[in-house]
Amino acid sequence: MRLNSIRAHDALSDPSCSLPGAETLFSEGMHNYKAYGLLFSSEVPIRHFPEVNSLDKPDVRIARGEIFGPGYKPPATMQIEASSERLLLRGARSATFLVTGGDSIIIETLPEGDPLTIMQILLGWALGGLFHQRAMLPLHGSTVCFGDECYVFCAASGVGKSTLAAEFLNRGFSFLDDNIALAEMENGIPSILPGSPELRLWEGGMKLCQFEHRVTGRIRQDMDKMSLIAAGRFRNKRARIRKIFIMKRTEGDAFALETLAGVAKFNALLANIFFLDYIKVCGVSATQFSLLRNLADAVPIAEILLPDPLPSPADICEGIIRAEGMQGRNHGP
Amino acid sequence: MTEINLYTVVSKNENVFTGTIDNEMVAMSIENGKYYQLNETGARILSLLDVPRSVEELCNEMAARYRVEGEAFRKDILDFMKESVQYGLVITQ
Repeated sequence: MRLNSIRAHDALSDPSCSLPGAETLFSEGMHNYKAYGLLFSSEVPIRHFPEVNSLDKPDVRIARGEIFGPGYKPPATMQIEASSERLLLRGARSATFLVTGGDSIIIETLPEGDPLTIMQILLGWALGGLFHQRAMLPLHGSTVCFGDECYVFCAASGVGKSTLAAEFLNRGFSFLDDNIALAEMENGIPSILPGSPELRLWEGGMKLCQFEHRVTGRIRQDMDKMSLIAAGRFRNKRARIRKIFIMKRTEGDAFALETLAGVAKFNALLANIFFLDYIKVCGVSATQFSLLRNLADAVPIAEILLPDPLPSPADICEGIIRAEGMQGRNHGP
Repeated sequence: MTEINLYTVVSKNENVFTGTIDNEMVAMSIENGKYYQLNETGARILSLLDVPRSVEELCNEMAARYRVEGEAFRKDILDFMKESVQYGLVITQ
């Protein structure tokens, strides 16, 4: 099968710093998790995924295995090769990942591969690729719940969606996931599936967190971004989408909300698909196109235009709560 | 580039997805991942091309629907067809 190359973003290139112990990623037995609507059977303990006891056949298997074997020379920087059925992630100083058929992730660690980077790639690109192979629709966004409904905040990395999500959590809201909003249409109702109770915040933003959480450490050795588990505020139940927001930084001087209409809604969703590079190479499947179209047709979508300088997360949150009339309603998990 | 005239038989490319959002049509090519926004007339033309037909037949269908005719109208349709073939939305038989 011909594989097409995707140039990796620098932001996810492997760190130069690595710790020994990639093998410690794996456990002897398999762990079962339910996340993103899928049953995972994994040799890699994913501590923040909701664990389940299930004898059902898993949807996804994550295991260690040989991809290139002894003598393999990793690339100097992260390389990604993709086709619609096969995704190969060749880390420089972490591991090689082979994602196939939407149901298998094989990991071959490199000597002294950094466990944190391996986990980040596994729960980022590898998982994203797997969703695409299954023709699911992962959006790059955090999802905050409001009663039985939810709001999705999509944005490019670094715009502040996790900080905003944390601010909503401070105010008692629950969440479904901080990074991947897995969208579905069930009986014509657009919804987001629960993912993981992990939030990733810059170290400087941690002091803003007033909700109960547990800090598990940095997400990578070379980044000041921390992993927090907010299990008490995690909603492990799908929620109907009330609105999707696209967060954008602008050079304007005022915070504004602009409602999108027509094909602009489709464009906005398409631009905020998680692991968009995979789509650029492999294309959108008929199922994904249909989901995108149905979602764009069924859900209100608005842009949040963030001024420069950026308002505080509290002010942004307050502006959205006011605009959406969220005050005084039950919004816990 | 394929020469297109009134006698060329055209049809919607099967590798193009179409759908409407708030009464606007989006057409997306599986082959190149590009997508196009079509107005009501363009959407109508594309939906007529689910069935292969000559450009002339297409002009006649559109003329009956919109109650217009004349050379300028036919030229507009022909130009739109040339563009649609170029973008891969429509194929020639």
